[in-house]
Amino acid sequence: MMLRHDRLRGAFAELVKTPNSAVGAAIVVFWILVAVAAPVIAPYTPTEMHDARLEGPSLKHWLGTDHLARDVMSRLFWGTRTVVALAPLSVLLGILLAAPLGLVSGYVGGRLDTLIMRGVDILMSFPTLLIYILIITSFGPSVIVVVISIALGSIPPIARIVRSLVMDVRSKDYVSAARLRGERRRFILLREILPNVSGPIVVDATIRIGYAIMAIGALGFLGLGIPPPTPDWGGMINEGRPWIFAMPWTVLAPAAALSSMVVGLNLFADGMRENAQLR
Amino acid sequence: MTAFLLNRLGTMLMTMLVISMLVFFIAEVVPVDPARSALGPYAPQEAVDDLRDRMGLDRPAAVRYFDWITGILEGDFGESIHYQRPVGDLVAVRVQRSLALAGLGFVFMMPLGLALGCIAGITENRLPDRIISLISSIFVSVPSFASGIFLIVIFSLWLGWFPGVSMPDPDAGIFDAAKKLILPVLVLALDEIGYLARMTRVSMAEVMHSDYIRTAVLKGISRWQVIWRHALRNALIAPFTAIMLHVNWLIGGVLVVEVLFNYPGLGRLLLDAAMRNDITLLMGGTLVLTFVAVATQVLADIGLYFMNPRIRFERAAR
Repeated sequence: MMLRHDRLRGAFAELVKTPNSAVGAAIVVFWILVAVAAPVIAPYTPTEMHDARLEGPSLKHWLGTDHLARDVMSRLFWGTRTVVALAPLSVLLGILLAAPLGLVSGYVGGRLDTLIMRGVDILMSFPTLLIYILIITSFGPSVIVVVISIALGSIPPIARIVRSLVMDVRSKDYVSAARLRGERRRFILLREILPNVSGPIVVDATIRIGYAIMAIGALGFLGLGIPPPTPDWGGMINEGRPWIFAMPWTVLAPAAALSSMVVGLNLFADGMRENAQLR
Repeated sequence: MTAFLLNRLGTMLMTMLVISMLVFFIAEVVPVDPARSALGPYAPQEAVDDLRDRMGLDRPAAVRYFDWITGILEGDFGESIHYQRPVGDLVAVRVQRSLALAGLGFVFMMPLGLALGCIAGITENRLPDRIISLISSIFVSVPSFASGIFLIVIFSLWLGWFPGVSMPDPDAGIFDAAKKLILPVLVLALDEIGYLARMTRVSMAEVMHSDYIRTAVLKGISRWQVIWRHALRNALIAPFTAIMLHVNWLIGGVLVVEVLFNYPGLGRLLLDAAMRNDITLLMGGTLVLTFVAVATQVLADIGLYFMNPRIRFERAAR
């Protein structure tokens, strides 16, 4: 247990060595802390209505109030929770759905591989945002539908990456050894291959969380995201847009928060990738 | 050659067939009562029954799909529930506007993205590369709706240079029209420039490390000659493919930009259709937009085939 802990710490120390990934990690950690501490640091509850609507920044409301007289800063802080919880969740779901496809396709090969990859190619040529819109229109916007549609949209690229990783590992000696030992296919896939391809999958997942944040934001912006009054950065931009010229802060704040989060994640992922390549 | 073209066209038809089934399934089979959801919960039952009748919802799904798809092959996309006009007519007008927007975005982003990427690739790990790489990382990470908000606030609110909405005005002169399009086109281009620059950088750096470039340098050719005559052509193949395969991302960008600037293109039409549960319009528009995406990818593939002799001979040898 001790050993494992040290290894983890070593890996983290190495990650933070490159300045870009350190900055990225700092940004991401900052927003995670905001999400955790939202009830403590937010001055008001996110749905509480105050006296004045569309009021500029003041001591009482640092980022002003929105069109329903709600405190923008409180909504911003609480909205962090939506993003921090839902984006990783949808990526995780996407990996759980796509990884088996990629594993089987890459390891078994042959007709099954051709069939799965044909399907993946076809889905890849379907514009992702249109898939989301279609699914959300049919099922109605809700947290679960948003998460599931983003997960479904990420299946083709994840399956493809997992497949190519598996194909690299498939012909390694330890896999042949396991095969010669007479291990079952399931054992080889889960115990020999999966642990050895999981590193790159994690790096890819980090980038994908960034995409998921953008997708949740875009859906909120289009009015198809998490239904109101739950605070959500994309939804805040959508609601504040008609008043952008009168009260730019109500839209600038969530737009900047969302951008900084994705920038942080991508810087962090870049660092991870560079590290993986150097080794 | 003919075999290659036929293969591509076959794949394209297959793709469109599967996608049309998917679209039909998600949009019309999944909702229990598409007529009710199109008209909303407060519509009288007679109106819903009437619409059910017109949509032919009593027939089995397979028959409905077959009717829908054969209609489309004859150019009949059905009638929009909300606008009560043929979907084909509505979409035709809008798709032109969206293509114009996307085309302008392309004209803007290609030279900039490629040039930035080339500079970064040539100066790999030195200062210009560091700066360009950081900027493109940021551009890649900022979603188009956010960068659009930033640009609107900076250029229309604070500086007052360009309008923040882009409703085209048929009576406006070219100058006014251009002024309205600058911000949307810029947002669209920013969305892709980072990605394009990153792709080009990697590809350029790879080419610069290759043996044939070393040979050229050792022959004593000037640096610019090496880059211009030897490296560029090979280095640009990868980003060209990458950007064509990225057309789905571009479509997402177009949709967001159209909504952000109130530009009446296909993206906004689709979103309005989604908001109003106008299923026939949503299905038709989605199919057209997906067709544009798939066709672009096929064209890119064919273009690549002619650009890159390696692919040509590899296939011939097989």
